[in-house]
Parts: sequence; C-alpha cells; structure tokens
Amino acid sequence: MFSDSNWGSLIFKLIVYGTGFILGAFGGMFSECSGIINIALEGSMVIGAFSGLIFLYGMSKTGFVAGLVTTLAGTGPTFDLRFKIDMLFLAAALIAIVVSILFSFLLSFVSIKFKADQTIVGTALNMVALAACAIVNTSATQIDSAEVTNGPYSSFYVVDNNQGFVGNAFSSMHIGVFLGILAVIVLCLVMDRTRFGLRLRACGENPAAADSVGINVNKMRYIGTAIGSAAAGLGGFIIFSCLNISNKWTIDALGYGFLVLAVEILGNWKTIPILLAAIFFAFSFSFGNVFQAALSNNPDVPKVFYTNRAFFAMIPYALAFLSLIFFSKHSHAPKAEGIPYNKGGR
Amino acid sequence: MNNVGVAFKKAGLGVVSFFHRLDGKRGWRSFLASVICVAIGLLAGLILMLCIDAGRAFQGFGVLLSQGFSDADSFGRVLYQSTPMMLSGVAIAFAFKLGLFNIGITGQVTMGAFTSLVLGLTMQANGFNGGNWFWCMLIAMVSGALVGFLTGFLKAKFNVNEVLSGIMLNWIIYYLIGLAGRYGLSVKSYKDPYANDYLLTMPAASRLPSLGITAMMGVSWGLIVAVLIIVLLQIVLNKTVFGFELKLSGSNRFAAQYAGVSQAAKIIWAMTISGACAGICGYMLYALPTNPTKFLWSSNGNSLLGDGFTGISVSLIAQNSPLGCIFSSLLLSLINSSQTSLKSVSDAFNIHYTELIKSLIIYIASFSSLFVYLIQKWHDDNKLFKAQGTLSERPEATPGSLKRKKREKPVASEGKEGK
Repeated sequence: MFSDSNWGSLIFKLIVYGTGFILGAFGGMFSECSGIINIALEGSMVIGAFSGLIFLYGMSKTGFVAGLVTTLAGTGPTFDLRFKIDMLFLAAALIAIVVSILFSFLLSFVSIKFKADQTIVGTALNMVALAACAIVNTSATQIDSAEVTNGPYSSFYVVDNNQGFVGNAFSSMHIGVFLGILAVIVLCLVMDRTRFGLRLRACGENPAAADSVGINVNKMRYIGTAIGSAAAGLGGFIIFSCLNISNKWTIDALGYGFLVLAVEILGNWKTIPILLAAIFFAFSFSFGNVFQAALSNNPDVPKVFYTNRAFFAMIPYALAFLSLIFFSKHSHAPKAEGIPYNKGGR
Repeated sequence: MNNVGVAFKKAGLGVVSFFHRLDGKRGWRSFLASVICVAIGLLAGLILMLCIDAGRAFQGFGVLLSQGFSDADSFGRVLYQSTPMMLSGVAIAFAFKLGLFNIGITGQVTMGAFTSLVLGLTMQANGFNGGNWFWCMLIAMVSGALVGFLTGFLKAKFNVNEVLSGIMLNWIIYYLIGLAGRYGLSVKSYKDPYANDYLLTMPAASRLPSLGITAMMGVSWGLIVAVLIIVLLQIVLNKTVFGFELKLSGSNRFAAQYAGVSQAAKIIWAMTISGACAGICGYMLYALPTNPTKFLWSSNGNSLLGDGFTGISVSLIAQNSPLGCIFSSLLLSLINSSQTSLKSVSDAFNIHYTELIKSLIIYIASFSSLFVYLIQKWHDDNKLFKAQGTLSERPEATPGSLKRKKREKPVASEGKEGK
C-alpha cells in the first residue's frame, strides 16, 4: 500500500521528529537531573526555531545565496552553492543554540537566586517566548503576523525532481539535522560516561552531599539548564525548519515542548530509555501522518478513513497518555528536583 | 507652625503604623507583593514601549490602562470578559492550594464548552424550554469535573504527573471533539460529515440571562454566579476542615499524612472541583447574552483554546487566592480591552505586545515570594517605627513582642496540661 515516496517521507519525518524529540527530551533530562524543573522547554523550542529561521529570513534578503531559486528549478544546486547553504544552516543552528542558552538564564537565574517556583517560571517563560518572538518578528519584518517565512531555502538536496524515495527522504533535510544527531551522541556520552554527568546527577539527587565533596551545586544547575535549553532549542530549530521550510511557520511549538517532557518521564530520566521512547513517539507521529497520505492516494479506501485528520493527529497523544499510565508507577524523578538548594538547609 | 508639624507627624505616623500593622498580616503581604509584581510588569511594558516607539509610548501606556474605563460599553466588556477568566483562575488557584498544577484546564474548558453547546442545541431542536441556561451550566460543570476527576484519579492511583496527563488530555479532548462532531451527533448543524471545520453558536434560550443594565447588556448573571462560586471556595478553603486539610497537604504532604489526612482523596477532590470551575468557565465563554462567541473547531488547526491558559495567568498574579482572582482577572481583561485602541495609537503596539506585558507580569509574579520576604523584612526592621515613642503605647504591635507572645503561648499551655 505504501509507495516509494510514502516510505521516503516516513523516513524523513522519523529522522526529523526523532532528532528533535530526543534533543528536547535530553534537554529536559539535563536540567531536571541538575535539579531544575524545565517546563520552559516549549519556550526554548520556540526561541531556538525562531532565532534560526529569522536569521535565514534575513540572509535571504541580503542575497547571500543569490540564484538559488533559479538553480532549484533545474537539476539542483551546484557544489559551491550547496556549501554556502550548509554554512548558512550551520550558522542558523549555532545561533539557535546560543539564543536558547541566553533564554535558559531567565529560568535558572530566578530559580536559583530568587528561589522562585520553577513550574510557574517555566509557564511564564513559555508565554514570554511566544510573545517576544512575535514582537521581534513583526518589528523586524514589518509584517503584522506571527509567521516566519523563508521560502527560497526549500528543498535543496534535490537529487531528482521525481521525488521518489530519496527525494522525499532527504530533499528537505539540512546540515542542522546531522549536527543534531551528533549532539544526541555527544550528550549521551556526556551524561553516561563522564565525571561531569555523574556530578550533574548528584546535584539533582542529593545536592547537600554533592556540595560536601566540593561541587558547586548552583553552578552545575546553571550549566545543566543551559545545556538542556540549548538542546531543546536545536531540536525546535530542526523540527520547524525541516517540516515547514517550504512555507510559513507560525510561531508556536504545537505542544511538542510538553510532549518531550512526557518522553523524558517515560524514559525515566535515563539516556537510552529516553532515546527509545522518543523514537517511539516520532514513529507514531510520522506514521499517522504518512498513513493518512497513503490512504488518500488509494482509490479503494473509503473517504471516511482518511478525512479524519483528528484521529491520526490524536494517536501520538493517546499513546503518550496510555504509556504514562502504565509506566508512571515506577518512575523515579531526581529527588531534589524543583527544590532550590539552600546551603544552610543540611 | 509647630502644631501643624506635629499634626503632620502624627498623621504620617498614623499611616505608617496602619500599614505596619497590615504588613503583619499574611493576606495583606501577598496582596502588596502582587501589586508590586503588577507595577514592575507594567513598568517593564512602558520601557518596552519606549524602545519600540518612543514618541507615542506614553500615549499608548495611557490607553493601555484607561481604555477599559473610557465608556460604559468598554467597561461592560471588561466585566463580562473577566467573568470566565476569574472562574478559570479560581480553578487553577484551587488546585494550586494542594500543590497541583492543573494545566489540563484547557481540556476541561473545551469539554465544558462543547457539552453545553451540544445540550443547548439539542434542547433547541427538541423545543425544550425552562431554565435552559442552568442545565447547560450544570452539564458543563459535570463534564469539566469528570475530566478533572480523571486527572486527579490518575495522579492519586497511578502516580501520573498531573501536568503531563493534563497536557495529553488537552490534545486528546481537542481531537475527540473533532471526531464526535462528525459521527456521534445528529445535531442539525453538522451537515457535512467530511467538512474540515464547524462552527457552533449557543442558541438564545440557553445563553446567560442578562442583568438588564442597558448600557452594558453583556454583563450577565454569570458574573454573579462566578463571584458567588469564588466566595464559596474562599470560605471552603479558609473556614472548613476540608479546606484546612487541603492546605495542609499542599504545604507539607508528610505532615498531613502523619496527621491522618488521606492524600489520594484530597488530590481527587481538588482536581474535581478545579475541573468543575473550568467547565463552567467553558460554558460562559460561549454564552454571552448578546453576540456570543462562536465555537469553532477546525481539523486543520493546531491550536487549543487559549482561554484555559489565561486562568494560569489570573491565578499566578492573584498568588492563588480565590478572592484575588477577581481583581487579577479584571486587570487582565482591562489590558486585553486596550488591544484595538493600542493598535490605532501605533502600528508597533500590536496584539503580541499586550501578550508580552501579561507574560512579563506573570514572570515577575513567579518570584513574588521574594517580595513577600522583602516586605516582611521591612516590617521587622522598620527603624522609623522603632524610634517612635508610640510603640510603648501599643506594645502588642512590635514584632519583638509578637515573637515573645508566640514563644510563651505553648509553654503556658504545656504547664496547664502538666498540672
């Protein structure tokens, strides 16, 4: 029933969603293992995606990659042009990371210095992120809408124009995705195989004990939140730049920031289970999407089955809900999560 | 001259001592902290305005604050738009008393809105007449409460994080309503089972009855109902055993457990009541007496109802006090009401701008405990007050004497028991 192009877009969505979700969930893991609840992952995703995309939008105005549109109509970009585009996207991804790190200090500073309620700060920051992005967007582009366009950069890895398996799978991917995959591996190793990762976890489990052996708990929390926010920002940039690249992106993380929190809890704050859980969700997301497309191309299938966008869109959330019910009983959150560290409290 | 000076001094001292005594009260301290948060948030908004469009910033700021009071119509709008907001705010606040963050409120609001609309349409189709609005409100309340109950039950029995199950339920309900609208129902308005979206309007008989103030037709009995519910919840929280146990569980779970308070029951009750308030909020959103908002479901849309999330803002600014929700919802709806006029002052001040101001206020409200602490500190080492002779006239007002009193009390009672 699945055609080549369906398989292609399934692979594409699996990779893009998978990388984004893993990065987002790792973001949550890093900050929560250091002891700070990060509800603001959604905000990080929005900020990351926005800063990257608005940079690309600005660059499209400068004519840095002039001739892209005309080249795309033919056989695909030349090596020289493709190198330029790669550099551009690399820069955009790095900008996304830097801006998300700056954003994370809004959370960590008030949580550590002012001992604020972290859930509330996170919720407020989600709103701040949305509104700030919309304002910057309207004043930068002079267009009164909460949308970011970056049309010229659509599908530049086009190998052939037939959009078969390869075309569907890789034409909309950019170097940021590979950076994301690299980041997933690095973050895995950092958390599981380094002294730093162990110390980070110690700060989330028993900050007093960590402090007694000379670890600066608050510094670790700043770093943990920054890494977490950076990962989520990169994840957001990857998802929204790849999936919406051909048209407009409305400034909104569509609740993915909360979905990755569910992934993180499902993965029990451990790297490998989180990885598996994220891939599971990415699959349910992309499969529902592609399945609907595949059904609609098949004349034998009655209309009722595929006009139901609501049904297919609901699958990932329903699965997340059910899996939460089944796995939450044994979930073990970092003990000191959400509690501001008080040196005198020992 | 000297007499006037003394009089001034006395008056000043009177004001200071008035506030000083108030500062000793917890409720007043949090109220003052909220006011400070709002003021700082608005100030930040003014600074932002100066950055965006310096020439018209002050004019814009004036509009932001005064538009709601400009005429009876605007003021009426502020009132009726704040009505559902205060209910969603109190829903969040009530759950927060137990330390639960009911972010699933959007799902509960959507559910309440949808069930009440369907009931209203069904009653209209069947020609039923008699207190329609009450039945609609009731079913909205029950359906919202059921969703809240589900979240609370899962939290109590399966240890499911209420934030996550709430968010998942928001989306599940959003999409379920999309499905239900197509297949499960035979109300006239769903003509095309394959349509991508549909629009529902609450029939006139099921809308909230207006209070009858000619200049403000939008202000309805809903406002009265909302205020009554809030007062009721305030009484429940502060004057009943149930409320005390709820607050105890919220502030120290282990102490509550030790004292024999059932945690599971409290969680379920808190979420159910919270969901009930949210459900009523959902009904009121779409049941204005004149020109009600239409309920739109679009299968191509990806956005939940924002109205539930407004409740979070309301509650956070009010520092989770049910009565405070009334004031904070009025403030937010005042800011909202200025959106269109603000845009006409300058193009730069668009709708996102007011959103930003609101979110800044909440961001600052998140560390309001800092302000409470500062006020407390100011209260404790108020040098002006200590230096004055009046202290000796009212020894009970000094912080030191208060502490001594508190310390002595248990000793005395112990002594009595000892005898």
